[in-house]
Amino acid sequence: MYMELAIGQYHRLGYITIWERVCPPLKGIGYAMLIINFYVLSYYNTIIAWSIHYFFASFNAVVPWTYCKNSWNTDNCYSLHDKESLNFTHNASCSSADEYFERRMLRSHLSPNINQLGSLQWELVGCSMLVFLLIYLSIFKGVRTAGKAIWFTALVPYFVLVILLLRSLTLDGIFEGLKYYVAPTFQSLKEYGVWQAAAVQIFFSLGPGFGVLLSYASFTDSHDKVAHTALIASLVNCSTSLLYGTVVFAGLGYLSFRLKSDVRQFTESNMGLVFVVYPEILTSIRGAPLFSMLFFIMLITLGLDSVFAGAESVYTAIADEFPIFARRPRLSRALVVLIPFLASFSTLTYGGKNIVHFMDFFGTSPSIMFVVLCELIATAWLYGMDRFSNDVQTMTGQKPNIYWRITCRYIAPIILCVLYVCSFIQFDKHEFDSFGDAKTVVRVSIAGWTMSTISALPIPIYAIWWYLTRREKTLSQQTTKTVVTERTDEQQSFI
Amino acid sequence: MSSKQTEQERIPMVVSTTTTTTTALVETNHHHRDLTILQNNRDNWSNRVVYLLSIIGFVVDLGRILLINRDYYCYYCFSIR
Repeated sequence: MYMELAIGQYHRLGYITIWERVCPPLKGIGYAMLIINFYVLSYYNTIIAWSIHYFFASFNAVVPWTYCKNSWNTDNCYSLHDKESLNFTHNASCSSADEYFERRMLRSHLSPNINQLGSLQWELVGCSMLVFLLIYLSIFKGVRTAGKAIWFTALVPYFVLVILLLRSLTLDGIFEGLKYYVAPTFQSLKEYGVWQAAAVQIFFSLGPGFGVLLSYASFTDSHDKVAHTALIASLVNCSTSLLYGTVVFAGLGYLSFRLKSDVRQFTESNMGLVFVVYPEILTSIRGAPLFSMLFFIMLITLGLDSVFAGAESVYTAIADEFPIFARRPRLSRALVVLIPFLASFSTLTYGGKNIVHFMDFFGTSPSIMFVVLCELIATAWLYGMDRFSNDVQTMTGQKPNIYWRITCRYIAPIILCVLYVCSFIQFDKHEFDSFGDAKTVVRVSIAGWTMSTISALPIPIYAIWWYLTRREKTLSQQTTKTVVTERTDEQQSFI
Repeated sequence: MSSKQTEQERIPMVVSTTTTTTTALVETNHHHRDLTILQNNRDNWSNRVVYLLSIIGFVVDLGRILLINRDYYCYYCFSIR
């Protein structure tokens, strides 16, 4: 994060063009980032669209996932508010919130496997259009409009989190959930897997490798204290996680108290934690529609500022690299928003949840690690730590301290190398078992790894191409530069 | 006099060569564009708070909240739970 912010702030260029200054053979890093951003934009918005659907559904006196008496519910449905149905719960039982998510919003029961996605869920298409419209409105004048939108999208989540925290503290049974959340298991510290998971978690949470940090830093004052920015952002990020964890686990404690079951079973649910378990908790507190609206507003704003950051970074990158896009910025930004919208159609079908799962798994994880590893090699080793330090000194008046120098040069590349190799070795072939039969699962895995490889391929391909075609040109340019310098010196000596 | 003349003749020649070579450099460099122009014509954040909020807004994302596959993958694969 520190390195991306620093090079972005110093060179003030988008994430493709910047590599001409830093390390020309590795300019493919920028193209890899571009592909990854398009992958993310094409599925992430669908998750925000789900939140918008829930937000609108909350405008009811009783939120529609409260009871089991709706047309989409099955006989296996149970509701927190129906004591009779609670007495008959068994393994096949689904909560009313679960059935709302699966059978009403997604209609995933109409898509038996990933080969039969079914038709478009038009409500979600409408919500998705709204998401893309909001993204476009946020960035259509670049950082000028994004800078205004950010006041709303960055601050509202904290406002809502505090309200939800205060409300959670008044519920019964929350201490069971909080105990599960904060009680340490010291034995786990001896396990390698825990440390690896923690490293992966903190790596992804800081958002390196997408080029957004680099693009955003290119718009800031070149004398900004880079280390301070990186530290503040990291601390706020971790504090938000703790705050959110407290709110959610307090809610889970309350739910386990109501259902007389173990907290653990709720934490193991997949994306249902946000779209099933928490909405279910909200149904049983007074003022459910209001708190539901607030909760989903929080999700929408949390997603929006990340997505329009990605979209703006894509525009910055292509406009800096290809001037034709910079001539008509509004149209170009519209294209940056429109293309992922069209690409997201498969995620808006009845079986769209599986596509989101697939894209989230393969679209970012392994290739982002490779991209960041290449970034570190390009900057700390090929561009050179000394040059990088001098750049930071030019901007801030101080060279990076020993911590940053050792981390950027040795510790971060080594850890990333290990994590990257592990992501291949530890791939779990059962991850996509729910997608269909064995053949389908194999095909999905192959498609996923291909997609992941495509996003990383620009780096070696560009390096080879540069070596074969551009290297001689660059070398001759360097020779010419030397001649120019010599002649200028000669000229000055004459004067 | 002759030495002065030689100097005057030589200086424009050197300047001319430098200009030509620099132009050639700019032309060959990055698709006929000068990157410095791009750097100087850049929009700026209105202030440092907006910049910080934007970075925070980006890093604090839905992934933090959803606990979907990315985190689930870690937990699932490494059998923490």
